Amino acid sequence: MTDRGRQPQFTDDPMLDRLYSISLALVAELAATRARVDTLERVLARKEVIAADAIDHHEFSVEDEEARADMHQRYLERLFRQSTVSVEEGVMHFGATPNPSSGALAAADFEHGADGCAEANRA
Amino acid sequence: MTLPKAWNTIHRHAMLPAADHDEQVRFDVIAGLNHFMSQRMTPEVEKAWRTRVRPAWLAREGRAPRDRHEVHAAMRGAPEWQLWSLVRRHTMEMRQHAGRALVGRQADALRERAASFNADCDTLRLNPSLPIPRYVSTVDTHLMRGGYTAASTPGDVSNPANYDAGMYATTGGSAGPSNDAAGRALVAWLRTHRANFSPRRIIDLGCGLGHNSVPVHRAFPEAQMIAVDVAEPMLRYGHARARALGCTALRFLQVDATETGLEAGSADLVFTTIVLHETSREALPRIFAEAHRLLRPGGLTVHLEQPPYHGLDPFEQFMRDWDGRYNNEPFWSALHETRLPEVLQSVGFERSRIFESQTQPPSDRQNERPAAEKENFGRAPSWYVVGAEVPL
Repeated sequence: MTDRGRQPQFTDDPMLDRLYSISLALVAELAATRARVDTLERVLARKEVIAADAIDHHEFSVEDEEARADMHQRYLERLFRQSTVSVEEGVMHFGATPNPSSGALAAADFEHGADGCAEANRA
Repeated sequence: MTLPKAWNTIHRHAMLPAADHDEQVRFDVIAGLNHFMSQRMTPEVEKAWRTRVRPAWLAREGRAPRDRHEVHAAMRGAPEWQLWSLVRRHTMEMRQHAGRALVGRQADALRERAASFNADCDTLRLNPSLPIPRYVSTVDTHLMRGGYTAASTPGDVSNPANYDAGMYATTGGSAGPSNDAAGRALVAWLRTHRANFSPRRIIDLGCGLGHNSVPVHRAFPEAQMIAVDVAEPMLRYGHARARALGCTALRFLQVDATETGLEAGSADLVFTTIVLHETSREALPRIFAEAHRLLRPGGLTVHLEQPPYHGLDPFEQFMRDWDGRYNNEPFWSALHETRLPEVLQSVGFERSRIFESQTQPPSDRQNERPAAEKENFGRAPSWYVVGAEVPL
């Protein structure tokens, strides 16, 4: 369902407008995720679980560094899946299962409200 | 530079939807994006106009653009304006989406809380059979899905709850912790320009959820005040919200502002706050005529709006007109081109008693905005005032 009223197009290509829509949502979600991590650090520091500068001054072991480097490579494979030959490899490698408790917007709640509005409008 | 207020500084009255960490942060991110856009991206749009688009127009046409339509045609292809518009449009879509997700998950609780506040009150008078004017029913004004009148269940207050919670993100808290800057700005104007004004009856036309009715009611506690609107969910939520704020004498009435049915010559003050741009060309003079009918001799009608376009540079008109074209505000452009004093005169107000002015809410720590800050074209808490008096 969309809003009643004209959906504007600002670029010459409707798919580019769509891409901006998704990109800006990701901008917002990344900011929200950073804020959550920041809150987590502050909660842990206030409860004296970790020091306020513990993250910035954390020293990784060699094994941790290797695991992190590997995590980054797999992340890049996911991002560039259309630009590299390792698409199938990547999928098999990750066996990615979506996390049901992720921080994404509560789609079911949202749909409930939206559909309700639609019914009210038809009434 | 004053940064937008975090959502957790909003005033938590009992009707306000509850928000968890990420729900608050999503509002904060939107407020931050709006702030960044107005402070850092708007100057780029102005620069593109000044240094590239306008000179190219002059070279091609041999004259300056005459009006905002010509500026729009020239700026349409400028990447700076395209990006600015994309961010402005999508922050609005995201603000509405975040608000729908917030209220959707607690719609039942909000409905029950409103019903509990509203139970056995003769200060809320609803009329479910009231015809809804087309200018309210045909468009999702400022992307508010379903519009002012939408209710998913009988007694649903989701949309007004979304409006109340999300307005703080849209304005970055600049309307104050209770989103009531326009009401406070009206009171400030009355205190300055009509120092001894002591109304006995006040009527707020198009009150919505009453966020600007409350400060006026509080400023004149001796007066009987009636806030009217056509939208039942807004009135249900607004009445409950007012009671949650301790305003138990403020009355809410579901009638059309063009035909309230209230007694002629009974009111001392009839006002609107940021409402006229959401009414049609046909309804506007009828609302003014109703104000004229309602006022007793010595009475005053006052209306707060964004500034009219006449006298403004075509580029500023073009920037201010963005909401009309791209934010589902179909009456915005026509209203800002209308000479409101002439409309007041056409419905019977005496020309010598019609005034134009401006106002802002009294400065406080919650809404202070330094003068150096860039205007966010149509979203700053600073308003044009137009009105008239009925002679004694």
